[in-house]
Amino acid sequence: MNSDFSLSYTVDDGTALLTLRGRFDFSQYSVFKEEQTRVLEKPEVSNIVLDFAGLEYLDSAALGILLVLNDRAKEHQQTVTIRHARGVVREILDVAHFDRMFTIED
Amino acid sequence: MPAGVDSQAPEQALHILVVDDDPTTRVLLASFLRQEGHTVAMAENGQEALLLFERDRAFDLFIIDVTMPVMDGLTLSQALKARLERWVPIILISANAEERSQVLGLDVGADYYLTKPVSFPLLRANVRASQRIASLQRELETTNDSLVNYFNRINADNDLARELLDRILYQSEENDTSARYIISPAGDFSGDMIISTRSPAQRYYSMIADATGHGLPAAITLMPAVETFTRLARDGYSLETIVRELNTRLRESLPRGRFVAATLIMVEPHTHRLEIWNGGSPAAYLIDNTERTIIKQFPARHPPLGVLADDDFDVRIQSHAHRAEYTLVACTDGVVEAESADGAMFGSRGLEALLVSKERDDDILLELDRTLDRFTGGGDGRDDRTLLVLPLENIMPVIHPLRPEMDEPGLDGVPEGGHEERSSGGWYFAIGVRGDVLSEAELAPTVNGMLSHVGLMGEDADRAHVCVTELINNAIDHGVLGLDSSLKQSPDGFDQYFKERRSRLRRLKEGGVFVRAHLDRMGDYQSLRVAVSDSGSGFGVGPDGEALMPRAGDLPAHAPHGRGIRLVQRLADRLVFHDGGSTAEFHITVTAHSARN
Repeated sequence: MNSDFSLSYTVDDGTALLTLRGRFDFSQYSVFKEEQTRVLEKPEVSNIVLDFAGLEYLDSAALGILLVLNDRAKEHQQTVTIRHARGVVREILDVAHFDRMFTIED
Repeated sequence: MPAGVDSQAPEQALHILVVDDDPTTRVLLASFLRQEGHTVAMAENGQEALLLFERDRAFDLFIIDVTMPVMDGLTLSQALKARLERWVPIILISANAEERSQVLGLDVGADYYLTKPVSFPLLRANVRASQRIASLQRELETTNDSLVNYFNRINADNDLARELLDRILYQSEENDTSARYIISPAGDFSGDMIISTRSPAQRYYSMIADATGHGLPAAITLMPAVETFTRLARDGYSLETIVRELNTRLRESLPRGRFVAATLIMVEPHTHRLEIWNGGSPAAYLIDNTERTIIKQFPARHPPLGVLADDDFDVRIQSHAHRAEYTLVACTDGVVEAESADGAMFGSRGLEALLVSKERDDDILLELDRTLDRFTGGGDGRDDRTLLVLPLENIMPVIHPLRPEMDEPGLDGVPEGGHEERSSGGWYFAIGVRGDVLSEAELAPTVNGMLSHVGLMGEDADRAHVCVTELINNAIDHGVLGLDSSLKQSPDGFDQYFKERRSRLRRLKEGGVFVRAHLDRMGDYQSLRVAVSDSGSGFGVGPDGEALMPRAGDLPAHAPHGRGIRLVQRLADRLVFHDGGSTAEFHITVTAHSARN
């Protein structure tokens, strides 16, 4: 439960792959926002893929951060896909019905 | 630090106490320190020093000889440190250069240790060092003071804000105590909320909500939701309308990324209808608290409120028939996401296991509180935690005492059907809705609202509101839409019934409902007559206006359907049918204390 959050990304062929690990909650807001702005402002990026395989938990503030990302991405004509969400992370996304706003892939 | 800064350290006069039994050393030290610009007091031993200190506590530095008669330097140092309320440096001087004695001196609370004969440059350096520390100390005290001030102010502000929020949240509750709940906030403010109210027609509404994040910002997020929910629920609007309005309101007022996960509940006691809309909350449960079984689950079918735009928003309701012996349980994610010390989550599984446990206490709140304390080791407090327990027997219909019939003794001289004769004036209005507008029209709350506007108040008004709502629903469902009530006899049929109702309403091209209301002043009381007509073919009435089909006695006592008409028969002073059953008219006599005019 004390696992630290980490975020890294690579850009390849128009797709930005953000890999999130650990526990994603409100305290990560500024970290995520900074990286998000960097990715969104790259003109070559048309798809954003969030890899949640290493994510252990996310709270409602984190869900809010994702909604903001989705909105910004739309303004830049980019799509956002969430991939490899598992366990409790997947449950939280399901309860919040994020499939209505995002593409969610296994 | 660059060289030379030391000698330019801020010159500040200190008030120093020199304690030495040797007069030569004492005077030597004192005159040196005075030359340096400080003020000096002197004592011959520890006891004298303590007496001096009791009279004058303003010393900035003590210079103390270790070996003295009466009270030695180590004892004095200890005594001073115990009496001082702030840090004041002590320099011990001794002829003994032994390491052990120096350690001993520092252990009892001295800050510096010099050996005799005292080197003046070393003493000056020590005094300066203690000056620097003293000024740091003062800065710290100032900072600390302002922090304490800040802390106190924040606390006072918090108290005020909390009281304000509590008033807004819980005053609107109108003291409806049908539900029991715990709200255990993670901090000063809860981002969770439960609000319950009843409509005039006795529908019970409750909302259990969890705003993004914690603390004051989360609590503030809930404000627009409270206002919208209370306003609409009090007037008896449909759950669909309430949910749609809440979403629109929150979407407009909340910053992006902020939202409210919520479960909305509507219980209609006399029709035994339970409706739930769950957006982003953990599943709610309908349980049998005696048998310890879960009757039905209501998982989240939608994203939280305030996320989706109006066009994408989905108001679909889950509905179910309920019984008085069932209990409804709903919670926020703080309950299912409670964590144990080793990172395991309580989960929906944990809650379900608790609900069906045969060993647990009957009091679910108590049991959950205990279980979560045990599970989290008592140290959890990461999220706001809220649980609602609603025993449905608590919200059975409130039936007001029936008034004597018009032709019964006691109301002398009121001629049967002759209201107009004695009326000195009154209000009347007619209103109707037809076609696909019926699907969005809130006809019953509109009529009830108008009746309130023209002065219908009090218990008689409550009876009237129920009658209006029931007759209009009956007219829409059976008269206009031709729905078959027998569908509702099975619990699953309930859901099917309301789905069918919704889809028929949307497709409706013709047909409608028409309401006429008269509120007449009759001396010291008022007479209310409301007739509800529909475009359907009716069901046939006898020559005296008595219903042929929906007669109370013909209906199976346990059937949820038909309860509406039976209720109107009990609540109204009179119910008659015209036009072959497509018009239903009720009469209520409004006593003077209930009426405004």
